[in-house]
Amino acid sequence: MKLSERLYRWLLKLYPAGFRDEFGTPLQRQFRDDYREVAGYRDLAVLWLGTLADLVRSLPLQTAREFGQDARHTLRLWRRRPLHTAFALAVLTIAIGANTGIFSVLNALLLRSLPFHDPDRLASMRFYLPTGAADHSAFHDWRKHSTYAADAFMFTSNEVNLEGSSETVRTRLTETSWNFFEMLGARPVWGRGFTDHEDRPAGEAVAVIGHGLWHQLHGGDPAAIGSTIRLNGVPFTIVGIAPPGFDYPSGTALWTSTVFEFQRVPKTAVSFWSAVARLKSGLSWTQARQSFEAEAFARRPGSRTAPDASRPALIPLREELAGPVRQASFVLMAGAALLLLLACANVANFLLGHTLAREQEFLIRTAMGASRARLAQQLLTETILLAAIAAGAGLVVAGWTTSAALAFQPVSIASQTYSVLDWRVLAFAASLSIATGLLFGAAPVLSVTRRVLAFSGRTATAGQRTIRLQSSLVLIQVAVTIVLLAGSVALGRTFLGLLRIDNGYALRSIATMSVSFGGTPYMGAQSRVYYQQAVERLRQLPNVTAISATQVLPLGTDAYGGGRFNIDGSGTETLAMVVSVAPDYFATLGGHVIAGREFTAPDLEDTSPIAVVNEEFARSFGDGGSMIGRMITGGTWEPRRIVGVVRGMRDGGPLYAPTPQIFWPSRSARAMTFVVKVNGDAAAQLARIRDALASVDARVPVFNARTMQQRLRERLSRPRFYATAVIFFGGLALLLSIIGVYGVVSYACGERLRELGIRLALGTTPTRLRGRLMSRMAMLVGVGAIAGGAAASAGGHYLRNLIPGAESAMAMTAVAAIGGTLLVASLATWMATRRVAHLDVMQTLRSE
Amino acid sequence: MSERESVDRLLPLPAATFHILLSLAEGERHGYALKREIAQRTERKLVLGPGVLYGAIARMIEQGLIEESDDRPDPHLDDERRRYYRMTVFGRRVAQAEAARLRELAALAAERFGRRERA
Repeated sequence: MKLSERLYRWLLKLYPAGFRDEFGTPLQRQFRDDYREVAGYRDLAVLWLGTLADLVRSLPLQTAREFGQDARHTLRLWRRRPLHTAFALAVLTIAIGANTGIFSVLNALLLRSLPFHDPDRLASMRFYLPTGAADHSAFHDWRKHSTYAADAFMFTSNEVNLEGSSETVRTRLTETSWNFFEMLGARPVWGRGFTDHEDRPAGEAVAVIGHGLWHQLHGGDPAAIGSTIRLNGVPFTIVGIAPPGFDYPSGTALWTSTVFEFQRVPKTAVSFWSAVARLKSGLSWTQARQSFEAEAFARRPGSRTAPDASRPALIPLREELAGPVRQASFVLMAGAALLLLLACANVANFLLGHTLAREQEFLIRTAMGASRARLAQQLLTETILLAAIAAGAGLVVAGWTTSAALAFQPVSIASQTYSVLDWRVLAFAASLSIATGLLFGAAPVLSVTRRVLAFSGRTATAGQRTIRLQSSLVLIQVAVTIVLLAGSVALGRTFLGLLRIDNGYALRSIATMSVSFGGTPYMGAQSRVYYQQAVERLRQLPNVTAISATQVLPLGTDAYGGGRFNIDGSGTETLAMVVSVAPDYFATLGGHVIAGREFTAPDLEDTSPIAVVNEEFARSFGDGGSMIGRMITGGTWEPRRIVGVVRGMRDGGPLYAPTPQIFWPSRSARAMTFVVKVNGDAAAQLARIRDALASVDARVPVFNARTMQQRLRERLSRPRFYATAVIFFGGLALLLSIIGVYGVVSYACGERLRELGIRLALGTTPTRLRGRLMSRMAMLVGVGAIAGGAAASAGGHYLRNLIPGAESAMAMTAVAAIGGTLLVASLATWMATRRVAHLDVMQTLRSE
Repeated sequence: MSERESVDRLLPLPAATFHILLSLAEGERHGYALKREIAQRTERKLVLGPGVLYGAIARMIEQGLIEESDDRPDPHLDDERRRYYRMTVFGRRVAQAEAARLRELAALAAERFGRRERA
């Protein structure tokens, strides 16, 4: 055959099967007729151009026409089985929705572009500052001569008091080097960014204000430029307005070029400095990392062997911003993908049963000339239509998922907000629906086309083949269910365990709220004056039983300071966190003094260097009681005499064990968090306490008013979300498998009635028959269970990314999940084989 | 639906459909013959490729305008593997209705624009 004709025959495959069946031969015929008239290459080119144009014109029409026919047929079928269709739709909607929702989180974190110039070349320097300290000339020198960075900026980010016209508010300030906006490619919408060397010490006091804050303070008036604002009491002139939505890093509303001047804006909390570099062009990430590590390890030799958690590293900025949520999202995505697989297996099983019931229809259509391809097209249209509707509805589920995710794992910058309405997410949902349609459509299609090919009637072999296909689907279902179930039980148990842990402080009865003295007369030693006034004011409130304050509240912050200390100048130095606290702190918060005493009011007036340590610190040097009266020493710190030992508190919540801590009396503070103990539930009295504290001095803003109970709940919101999600997956998986096992067994019973009847006639009892069926099913489920159990144990360590510690519960839980699944599967089998027990031999044989 | 309504529903006919009916009015034709006749009649302004032609035929069969015929009217000229089509009674009515519609349109146009012979 001529090449052109072969090519045309191949192109015909693009047409839908019905049209091809009907007109394939005449189409080829006509092409051949046209081809016969061809004389020379010009004619051939004209023929092919015309043929391709014809194809382009007719293909969409025919495809739409046939899809319309198939879709109408599908809808008629669905109307006949509304319950089954609704169930399949619901299962697929949840599965596709969960996948799409989690994908939209990953899309926001990892795929969507950051609002910076060439963001993929930006690198965060983790645990490393190129110049060691925040030094102006050293940093810019390094920046110009770096072997791997084309440019770099440095920043530190803190909350500050912003004095407004009526009241002082808290806002996030980021102090940067002058090239911050320039390097990120963020051009202020009004005014300018910082100019060259505006960041030198004692330079101009200029600030760029965030778009949102600008609207809040100045109502979006460009006249804001040139006006003065006071940050922790220090005046700055606004020179620019940041572009809308720009809030890097961590929700910043104000930027100043004062990163190299620690004292310029008085700090009221522990601060960290970070650097971000732009890789030199032409340099690969690997090469840049090598240069970076060579520099970092040469400067700090000890860091080469540091554990991963504190070793200097050059990581993509995008990864840094995604943080731990990235890993968790991957694990959840895997869970959702398993659920989708399970849903596909389940729906495939369903369709398989129905397809067999439609055998007559397919045989008639075959007799009327429909090809296998035509039947396959009909079936795939049904499945893809099902999946497409599910994907559409799944977008709603995905919307819920993303808003839940947004509440539990907030984004680090505004532009990363999770959204379903993004072309990547929509494309993902669309391709997912086509892929799932093909996946669960494959089994029925194979089964039907094979049967039609054999052109057999209702033969035993065809039924057997279907049972085999269904059995392997059950095997997959059981295995997947066990993985999800084991994961959900492990997470659930771990989470409940977290709730039972005694953190070492009271929860319900404690109200907490912070004040910051930046820009007020109370900064430093005068803080005691404020504290005394506040205590007197709060004491007058009814129900308040005790009042104290601390610099670092458990569950309050992730940033803290400390150092290395030993006892009496000897022994190994222990890394300990240093916290200054007010009198009666431990009694108020519900802590326990194990030996000695805690600070009392006279300790504030005194200047004697004293300290309280926690058990964890004391344990490094001996038992608690023997610590009293000994001196804490270390580095350049003033030696302090230990007057008490207290039981450790879990600062980071139940997930983290207490760490060594040293407490000082709070004699001079820049900020403090009040701890107020009340009778009954503190939540109900929170507002009253906050108002009372705010009335002490309007210049001192009161913020973060929360009970300890609320703080704990926030800490646990992410683990709770993950546990809930996976438990939901596990529960749904179990339900789907029960339905799957039941469906297969009852189909198998129906298919084999004749065989069973003969067996009964030959003298077997129904009970024995039932036992046989059940043991066969148990074997199948058992194999699936072993596969699932192995997968669960092997993949268990990924759970660590959702809730630390859950991985250890996995192995044991897998056993329980296997047991549970086996039990439930046996129950489903028992139910499905009920009719075997009441089989009437004669009736069965007659009916067949 | 009355016959009148089902005829009206199909109007105006696509050019290809009307031309196919025009050809079939003379007798049964196979696809290739249809294509050639139509190309000739329209001075090659309407050349139907195989996909468009058989797409139109498929739709016309569905609409009941034409049907497949088993007759082979011109055996020495032809090859018996070809499929022949003929117009149905309904097809003739639809074609008549379309012709009437075109006449009215042409009359209206003549009234508005005046008559002018083809160049």
